[in-house]
Amino acid sequence: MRFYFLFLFSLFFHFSFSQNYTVDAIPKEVRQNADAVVRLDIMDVVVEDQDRMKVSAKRVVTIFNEKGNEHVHAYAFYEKNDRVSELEAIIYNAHGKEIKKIKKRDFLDQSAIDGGTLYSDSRVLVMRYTPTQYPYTVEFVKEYTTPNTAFAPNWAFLDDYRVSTEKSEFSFTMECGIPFRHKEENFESYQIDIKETENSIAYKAKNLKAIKAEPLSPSFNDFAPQVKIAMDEFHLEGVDGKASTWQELGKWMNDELLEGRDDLDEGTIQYVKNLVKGVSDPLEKTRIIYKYVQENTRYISVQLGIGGWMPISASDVDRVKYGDCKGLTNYTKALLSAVGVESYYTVVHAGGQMKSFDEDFPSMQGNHVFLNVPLEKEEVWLECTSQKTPVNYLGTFTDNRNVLKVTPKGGELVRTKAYLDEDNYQSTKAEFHVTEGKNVKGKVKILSKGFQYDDKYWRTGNTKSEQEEFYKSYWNYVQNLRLDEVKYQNDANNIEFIEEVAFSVENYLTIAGDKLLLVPNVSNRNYGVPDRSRNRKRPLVIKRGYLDEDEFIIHLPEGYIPETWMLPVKEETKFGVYAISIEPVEPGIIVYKRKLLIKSGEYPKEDYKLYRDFRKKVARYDNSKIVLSKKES
Amino acid sequence: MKLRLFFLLLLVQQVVSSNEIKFGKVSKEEVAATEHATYPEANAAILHKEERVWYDYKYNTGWSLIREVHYRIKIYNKEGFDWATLQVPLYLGESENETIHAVKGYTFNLENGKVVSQKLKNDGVFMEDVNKYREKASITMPDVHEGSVLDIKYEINSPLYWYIDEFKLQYDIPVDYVKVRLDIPEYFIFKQYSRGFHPIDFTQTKENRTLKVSYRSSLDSAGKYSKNTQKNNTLELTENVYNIAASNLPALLEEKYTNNIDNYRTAIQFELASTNFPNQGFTHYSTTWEDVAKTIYNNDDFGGELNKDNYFDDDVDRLISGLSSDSEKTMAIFQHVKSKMNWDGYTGVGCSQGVRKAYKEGTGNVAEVNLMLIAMLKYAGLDANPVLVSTRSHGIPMFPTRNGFNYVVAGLEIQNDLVLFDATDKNAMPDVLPTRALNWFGRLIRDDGSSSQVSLMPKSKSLDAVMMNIDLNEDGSIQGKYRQQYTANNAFAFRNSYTEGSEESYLDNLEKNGDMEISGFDLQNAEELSKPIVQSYEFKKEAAYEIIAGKLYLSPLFHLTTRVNPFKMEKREFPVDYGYPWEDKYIISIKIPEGYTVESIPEPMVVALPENMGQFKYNILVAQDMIRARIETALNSPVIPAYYYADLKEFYRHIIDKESEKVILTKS
Repeated sequence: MRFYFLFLFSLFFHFSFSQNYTVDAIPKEVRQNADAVVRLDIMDVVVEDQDRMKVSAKRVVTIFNEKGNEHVHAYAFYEKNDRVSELEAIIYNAHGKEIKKIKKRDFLDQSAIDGGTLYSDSRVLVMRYTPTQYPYTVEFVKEYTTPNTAFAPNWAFLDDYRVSTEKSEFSFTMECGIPFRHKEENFESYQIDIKETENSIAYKAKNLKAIKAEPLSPSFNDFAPQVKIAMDEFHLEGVDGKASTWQELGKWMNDELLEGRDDLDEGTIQYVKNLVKGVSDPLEKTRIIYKYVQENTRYISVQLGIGGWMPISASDVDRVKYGDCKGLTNYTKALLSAVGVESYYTVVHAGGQMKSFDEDFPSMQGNHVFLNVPLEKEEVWLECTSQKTPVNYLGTFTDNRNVLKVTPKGGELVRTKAYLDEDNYQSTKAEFHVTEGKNVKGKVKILSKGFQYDDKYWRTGNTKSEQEEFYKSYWNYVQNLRLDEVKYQNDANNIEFIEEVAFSVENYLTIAGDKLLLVPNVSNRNYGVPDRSRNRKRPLVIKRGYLDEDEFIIHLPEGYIPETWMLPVKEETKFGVYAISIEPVEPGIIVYKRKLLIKSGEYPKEDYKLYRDFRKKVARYDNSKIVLSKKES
Repeated sequence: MKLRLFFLLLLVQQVVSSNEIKFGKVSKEEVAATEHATYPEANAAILHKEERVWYDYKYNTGWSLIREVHYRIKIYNKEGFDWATLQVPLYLGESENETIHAVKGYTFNLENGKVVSQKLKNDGVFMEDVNKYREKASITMPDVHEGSVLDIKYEINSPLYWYIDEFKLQYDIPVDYVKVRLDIPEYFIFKQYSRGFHPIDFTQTKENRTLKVSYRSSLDSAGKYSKNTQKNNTLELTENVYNIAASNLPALLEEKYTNNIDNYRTAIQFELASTNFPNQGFTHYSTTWEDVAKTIYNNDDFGGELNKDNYFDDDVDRLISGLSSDSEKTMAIFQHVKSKMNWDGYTGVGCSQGVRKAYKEGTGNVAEVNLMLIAMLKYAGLDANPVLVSTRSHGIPMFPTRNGFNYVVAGLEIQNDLVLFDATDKNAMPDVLPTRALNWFGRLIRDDGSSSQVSLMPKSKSLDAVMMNIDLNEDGSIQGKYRQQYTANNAFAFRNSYTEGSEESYLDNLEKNGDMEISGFDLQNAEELSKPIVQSYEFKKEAAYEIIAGKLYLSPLFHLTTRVNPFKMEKREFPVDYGYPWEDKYIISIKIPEGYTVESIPEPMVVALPENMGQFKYNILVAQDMIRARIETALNSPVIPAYYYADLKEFYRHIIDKESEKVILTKS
């Protein structure tokens, strides 16, 4: 879907003064840790009218190695009604000497369709240039006019990890008197000049150092300095809008983008009414309608003009039985409405990052649409693009974040359901027999809930060879594994997934002299130790917690007894709990129990090492062995 | 032994009878089926695919090729929904384009026990200008459910009448029945080539055809000039009619460590061998690899570019002045081209802007870069010639054709040896080609246009040699000295990844991947390409061995232990391709801590793959207070046929089992 910011933040302007682009002129601290240095990044945005915005930009980037190439950003995305009036790039060598000029006509004009989209009219002009030496510098100038002011450009003073900025300037000027808002984020640790007049605002920043990526860190946007702009009156592909609150923005979407898109023909209405005949519980009705949608539609994304933001009509979806997230959500909403269940089209920023809509800054945000069904007991969520997601299952795609619910009364910012640590539960129960001295044969039953369900339920459609590939990589610490039988049970009503897997392993036990080494944790080892992070700068973030409980009954090989027992281990830290124990049940049979709880949260940077130590311990204990020696007869 | 099953040409004379399939008419059984009869796991299947190819002639535009395609696709489940969308690429030429017409489609579903259909409308067809060379038609079908049967038909009109695209007979879903009929006027003589593991039925007959040609003429019937009039004429000709059919083809599924999967796809291709137009006689096109090489060589954008030397003569004179030996001259020129020229990422056997401009700009495609190198070597009096190559992604051509090659490298004949050079990569060395070029065989063309087949496979094994000295600490950590040497393609791969980012990022990754702390890092010969890469450092690593009940259990390879078998699947269809032969040699010395003695130590072992394709040697011994281990793994043949897959898997299993065995130390 294109509820999408196709506008790239860092693009362009025409300046006549010449510049010193030698690499030597970069201050040392700016050069450090950088694959690319943005020497100059200027963008001036002038809103001439509600439906005319002119953007002039100039960007100069020095690239130090191959990895830096992706930061050149010498391209211009454009929509049908945009006009790219200027586009040019000049390449300089390390001494600042011009080596090549690339004119607009030499830019490659191609369609800008991403993988998930079948068709869209978005296009992009891309510079084609093969670097002939490193470092090199690209000066890129761009100027364009667009009628779509709904997306006033945002500005980022830092591009990405390992990219520094020498000079960054951004200005926004309102020439037609429309009130606009701006929000500065993460300016605290930076010196950024702000100059505000009655109808404009301008920012200047200098020498921003490159930031190194850190594992389990907050998102880049959570600490990098940036500016957001939004206009209270705007234009989008032929449609005017007016909004300065979430309520108003939602109202606009409802009236301009959704209103009248939900007609269905009488036959379809009768058909779904029949489906719910005799059912009065709105949740049950919702289930029936959602099931009907899942069984009868599929996801096909087509984005044309205003169609990037406006759903195709419910009757069109009803005919072709496909649509994108907007179309399918609007269709489901129409069907629900036909059976007397009210529901709301909801805009979200989908993805594992849990990105929320900014409460204090109403503007066009998000990249996805799904459906909210407000029932008496709880709000139920429907992911209408999936043929498999259960009713009210958000998974890591849409959980725990602010989203915009669009109702006829207007927009409403609500928070989606969070999965608490213990909700993300996995239980692994197994019984293993050691056969022929070193081999193991057994059956495992894995029950998953919460976000651990997310990882699994889509696997019901797997072929045998896909299953084989999956389990051999899931248990990749177990060599010579042979799958015997795999059974899946997907309980979509309770949102639980059960896997029953029978397998055998050759040479599972290791020989050491006349003894045997056995790792009792056969099928749930967690070797996930976060990477070392020296001189940690930012807090530790565990986005989602989880709980694993395991119980393995192991029948030892004939004629051997444990020479050593593992002592019970219990590690309790602020990040979670790890406990294992091993006990004899009866002669020749032992039971291994394990529990791992990881708690979500944000922890100070000093804790990173402690967390890593904790996970190292888990990894080590999960791999620990008991020694079996021959019974003395 | 390599890919030997390749070119078996199964042209069986046999008439295939099948029920006549009509577009838009499906049987109830087809729609009602819930799974594929032979391959029940299939998400979708091609029940029927039919193509018809014929020629058309228009007075103004001449010959064109029409290709009519009909697919009948069955969707069994949601995973098969992708097959409800077809994408048809169309080529855009300089003046004439391929075009698509008459797109039609029906979706059939079962409703209350009855077959109902829905027609594809215009809103399900999208035309996309991908870029200036390509257009794409996307067709997506309406009302698709689990169980739907789709009939899709379209026609492609191509002005490229001399080129018939390959007919794919196998897909990543099963194909029940596929047939192709071509009606080719007697003026065009095509040869047929097929590929893959499944039989193809093939028949050839002749039929007469009357072709109507309308044209405008300003001559009237009496031969006098008059107003332009529309005239009709007919042409009687004989056509060769080819019927091709195949049935019950299983899905072609990707496997890891294969070369290009297309090399194994069942397909048939028609190649224009010659034309014989009335009053013009025979014109021959390429028929042998020898001819192909000659054709390419005689092209201006190849041979012509190869013979230019006045754009570089001064530079080369300067480069080789004072150098006496051929090898010095060779290296000086090779290094010059590598450092001056930058490959723009484009392949092809022809120059696009020409060597002169490329040399000036410092950028060029593969032909420009390497033809320039060859020309310079020749200019310096060396016996250098082009070697035509097909890259891995280009696959292995079915027959001798100019399109079969898309890459060119330099071959230098020294005594009886041929040394290969590719200047498109800064880190390339003599006889070390980038993996993309290590495919199939090459064709060396000499000055007179004669050519011969040459092997591209590296002659020597690429080495990865490690020496490691380990001290054990009481807390389960170790510290050690590490020295590693890479040669040939291993060194090439190392240099490419090393130069991609900064040294600091490299070290970060090294520490991260080995989970260790590194100090005293030293790298030798990063830029001395003729010498091996040597990296050395000291390291500390926690939890590197285990202490259980006072005894120390350690794997003598520590973090170098092979833990995961790359070959997990029980079965394999296609050869395993490593790219180049290699050898790993690990020599490890472990100091026995004071007060400990060796309680047990693994037995030495040797295992080998059949036909001397590879071997693994594990040697370990105790010498005073040291444990010395020497572990060598070699792969002599870079391509292992699928029928040796079980052996290869077993080979790795032995390696993993052996390397995981423990040395036990006890307090004395």
